[in-house]
Amino acid sequence: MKKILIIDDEVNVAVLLSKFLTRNGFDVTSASSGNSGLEYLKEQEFDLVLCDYRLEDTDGREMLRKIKTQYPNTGVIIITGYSDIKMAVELIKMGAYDYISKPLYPDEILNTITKAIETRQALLDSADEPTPVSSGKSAKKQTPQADGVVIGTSRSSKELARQIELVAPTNYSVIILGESGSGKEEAAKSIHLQSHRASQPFIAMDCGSLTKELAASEFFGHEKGSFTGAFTTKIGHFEMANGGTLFLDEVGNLSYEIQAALLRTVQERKVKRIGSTKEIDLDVRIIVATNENLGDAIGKGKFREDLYHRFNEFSIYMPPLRERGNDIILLAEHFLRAANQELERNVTQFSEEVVECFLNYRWPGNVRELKNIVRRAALISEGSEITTKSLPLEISNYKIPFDFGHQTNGYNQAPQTEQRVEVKEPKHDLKNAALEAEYETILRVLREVNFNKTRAAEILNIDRKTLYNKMKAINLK
Amino acid sequence: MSNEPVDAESLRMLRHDIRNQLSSIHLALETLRYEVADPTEDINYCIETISSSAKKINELLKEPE
Repeated sequence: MKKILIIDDEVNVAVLLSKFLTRNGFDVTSASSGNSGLEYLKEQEFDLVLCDYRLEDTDGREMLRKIKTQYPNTGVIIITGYSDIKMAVELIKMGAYDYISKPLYPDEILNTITKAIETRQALLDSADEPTPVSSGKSAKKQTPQADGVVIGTSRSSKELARQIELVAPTNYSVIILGESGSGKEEAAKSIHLQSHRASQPFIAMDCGSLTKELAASEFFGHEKGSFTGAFTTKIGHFEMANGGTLFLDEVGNLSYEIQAALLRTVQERKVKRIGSTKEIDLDVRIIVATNENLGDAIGKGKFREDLYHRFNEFSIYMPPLRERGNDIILLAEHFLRAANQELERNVTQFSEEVVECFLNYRWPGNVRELKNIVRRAALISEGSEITTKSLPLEISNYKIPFDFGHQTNGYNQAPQTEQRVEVKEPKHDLKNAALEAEYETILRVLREVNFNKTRAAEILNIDRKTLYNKMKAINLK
Repeated sequence: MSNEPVDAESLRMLRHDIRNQLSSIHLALETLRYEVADPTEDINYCIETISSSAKKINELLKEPE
């Protein structure tokens, strides 16, 4: 029986929800505060946590962060009274499976819970399965994460795995440089998991989405009442990551003032919450990621050079997917297996044309894009083979100017990047252009909200029915 | 009526609290539907009315776009 933990300080809601879910075949425990919820989590393993966003002793964001660091296999659904898309997207990015807005409708809850549990099961199963790496000649160590950033036999991914292995056991700060979607966070996690800090927290922070005002309290925390709006004491990310690893994504986006404060913290290895005089000793390893050249940012005066050198004790370059040759196919096969499980499909292979398209395409969104494309294709393919029909136009129509790309032997040697000029089918047809733009936008928004159509429709400002029709028209399901 | 403007934050909190109570109502109705084995027409009517009123209250809470 699947176990669910409900954390809600509204007693009636907790009681009724637990009755309802018990009736529907779940083993339910309920907690009336964040802390008691965490106590239950310590005692037993849950498949899923339903957590109210506003709790007396903490909030859903903090709970999500704690649960995801300590029990990464437990799914989390946040219940919130505010219908705030931005927050929802953020929570989902932080690892929540979904969020449900109040008022709660029983059918809707049941639906979301069932889906969350199925997805979690699929993920767990696919993690148990051997990945394509094991079939390679070199018996490389299996990396723990299912997203498999280090899967691959190409020279660049072997080099990457070697560098990670090399730097992981040290205490060096690391800069990970790579295009968006190339798996920087996964690489950071790999480093953490292969270090002696593996049992300590890994805290990831997206500096790209931080406002100037919030950044300081996110990093350093604050004491209750230290400024207007500081209703509770907040623990900063440095403190949370103490003993473990702090991962700062898109570090190039931090404001200059925050960079100064960061530098101080990193140098002194101490942190003070805003509004407090107490210094807390820190033992945190810092890994930062960026998709821009920090050297340029330093030149323009946007990034502090001293901070850069602090971070740059070691640097790792994440190769973009298009330079990883046959890894593309290994990864695609890996994602296909995962998608089959998750979506209960039985699509077993890619047609030759698809393999060719995959190898030729530029993959601006890298591994993340590949994963989404494979998932979508697995969903809409009718037979057991994925054909070019199931690929989005931008990939199936992608053309390389000369014929050199069609030598499909020797995948390990990816064609030179410079020679790849993006040439789309020369259809100067307005209708096509409009369709394509629509397709792009719809797909982007859908990805943002984890394919929740109701929310996507809200963001796109069309009604759900229109969205369904559009999706049908452009062959999305 | 006082002329003091209602600040946005309290309004937000109020909406939140009302939605919380609406959740209880919907969940309680679900339990009622399950517990009452042979509801009379009147009971059904009442349950449906409570349900649709709760939904209308939620509509009223929608923030102006």
